[in-house]
Amino acid sequence: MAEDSTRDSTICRCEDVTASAIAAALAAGARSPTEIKVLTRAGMGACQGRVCRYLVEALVAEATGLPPEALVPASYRPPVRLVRLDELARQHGEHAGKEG
Amino acid sequence: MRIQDHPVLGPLPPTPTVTFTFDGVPVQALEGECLAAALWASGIRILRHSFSGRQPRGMYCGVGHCYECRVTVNGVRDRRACLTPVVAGMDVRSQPPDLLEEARPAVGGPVAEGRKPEAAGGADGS
Amino acid sequence: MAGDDSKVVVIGGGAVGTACAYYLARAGDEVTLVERSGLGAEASGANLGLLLVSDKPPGPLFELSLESARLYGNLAAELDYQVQYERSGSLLVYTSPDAMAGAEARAADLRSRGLEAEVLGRAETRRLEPALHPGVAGSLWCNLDGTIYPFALCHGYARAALRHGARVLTHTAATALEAEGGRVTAVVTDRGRIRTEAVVLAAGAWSPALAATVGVRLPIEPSRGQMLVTEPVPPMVRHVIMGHEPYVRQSPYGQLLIGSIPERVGFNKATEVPVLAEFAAGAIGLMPCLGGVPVIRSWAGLRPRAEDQVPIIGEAPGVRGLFVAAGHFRNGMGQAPATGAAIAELIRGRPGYPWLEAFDPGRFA
Repeated sequence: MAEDSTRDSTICRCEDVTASAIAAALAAGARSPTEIKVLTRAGMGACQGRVCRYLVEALVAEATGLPPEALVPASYRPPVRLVRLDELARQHGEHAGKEG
Repeated sequence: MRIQDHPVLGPLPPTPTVTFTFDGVPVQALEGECLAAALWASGIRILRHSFSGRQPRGMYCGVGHCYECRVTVNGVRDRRACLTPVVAGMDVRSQPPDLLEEARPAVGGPVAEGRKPEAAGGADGS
Repeated sequence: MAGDDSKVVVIGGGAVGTACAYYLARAGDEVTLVERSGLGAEASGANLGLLLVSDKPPGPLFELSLESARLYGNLAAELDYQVQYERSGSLLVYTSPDAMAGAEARAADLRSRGLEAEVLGRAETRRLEPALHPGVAGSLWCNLDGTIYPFALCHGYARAALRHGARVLTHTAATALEAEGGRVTAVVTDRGRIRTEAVVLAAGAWSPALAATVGVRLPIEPSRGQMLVTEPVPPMVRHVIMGHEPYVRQSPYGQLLIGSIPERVGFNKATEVPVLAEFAAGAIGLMPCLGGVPVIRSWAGLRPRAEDQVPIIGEAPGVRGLFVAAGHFRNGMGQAPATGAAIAELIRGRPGYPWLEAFDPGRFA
């Protein structure tokens, strides 16, 4: 993880965030996975951080000297998978029906 | 490229083939396999391009987690090729790199002024 | 390191707090900003980034938004940070001819206040926003409404404040204020005590708890706003679309941002399917072509809702040196710049904004 040769590796494939971009955010003072997320957009794409979450945590841990398990993980946000707006809108009808 | 004789699973049994198209080009697939496998076997590895970096993207995790292999199937976008079984005659399209007409701005991009209904530009009211 | 003295301590790393820190530091004050997690972690990071001027009635709320829009005009250059400010304009969409009855008067009112506004018929509305439902009756266009990338705003202000000599202490939670003889003297944090001459309380919905430690009552409660974001789509929504819940805008990344309605549910940041489904149905009702667009994510933030829905900006009654900058409800992004500028003026003892007294915390005393 710490080798220079990995610095331009793509960490978040959805949002094209490289290790060097994350290093820059860490150098700017980010100390948590959430701050990396909002500064670089790592983890904001279609996979919702499934690929990059642990890599980001490892980079934050390395930069802060904290063990990864001591970090507050970035939030998990619904939906779990991509859901089309019209599929979601159909839930509106279903819920309305139940309440009515 | 396919594994014809797998050390654990044994030899590939004879399987009927079906044809679908990828970006209009016919591709042969084994009946029942997923789009990602058929495309891979046909040497097609670039399935889409990333939004901001315009980097080529294809099958990555292979199990539905990463969404890297998403393609447009019969007009429906964001189908994961690794989870979508091939059906004969499917119209599969790479997701265009040009979903956005312009590359994404860096955080903050240029300041744009309000657009008047009649013409671009206009006073900013400040 | 939090134990050093400071002339001013700003509590809260949202849009309002970072704006206050920036304008104070720029004016030469010695400023320390404390934020209990990262910048923009609460309401300032959970909103659509809408900067609305045209929806404010004439008066102080309008002036606060208008002055903020003026400050936004040059902000990216001033901060040397790309905050993604876009003065995209807005369309207040009318779905029935009856609803348009007051539109001309509303447009005239906005024009009388110096904005550009025009009532547009169906064809013109759809020419501007072809994605809108063919049956919309028309719209009211206004030039001055815009959008921002909320996180970039907070970080842009904070970094510029740093360049002007401010200290920015993230992951530092203020736990109490201290006062002696009716004057604020210190901020207690989980990383030490900071002695100070002035405090700017910009902790949004969490401000009342801190104000209470020195006996000040702030009638602010949390108001949840849920929202969702889609996968990027081709450029198709150019304006802020409003007039019909939910609001819809498209980010420069191509994503559609859809939300939100205020909900009084306490300190609860969960998102709930029935509400999100209502947003989805509303957005599709307005723009039928959105049906196939995939939703990536939903989230919610807690807007600080003052009892009278008017921001609280000014020195607290009974505790000299304690300045409140909170309670902006749904307008924190749109009113942060002028709030920061006003607080900087107030603390330097030269309040220059005639509308400021409308926000005085003393109104609740």
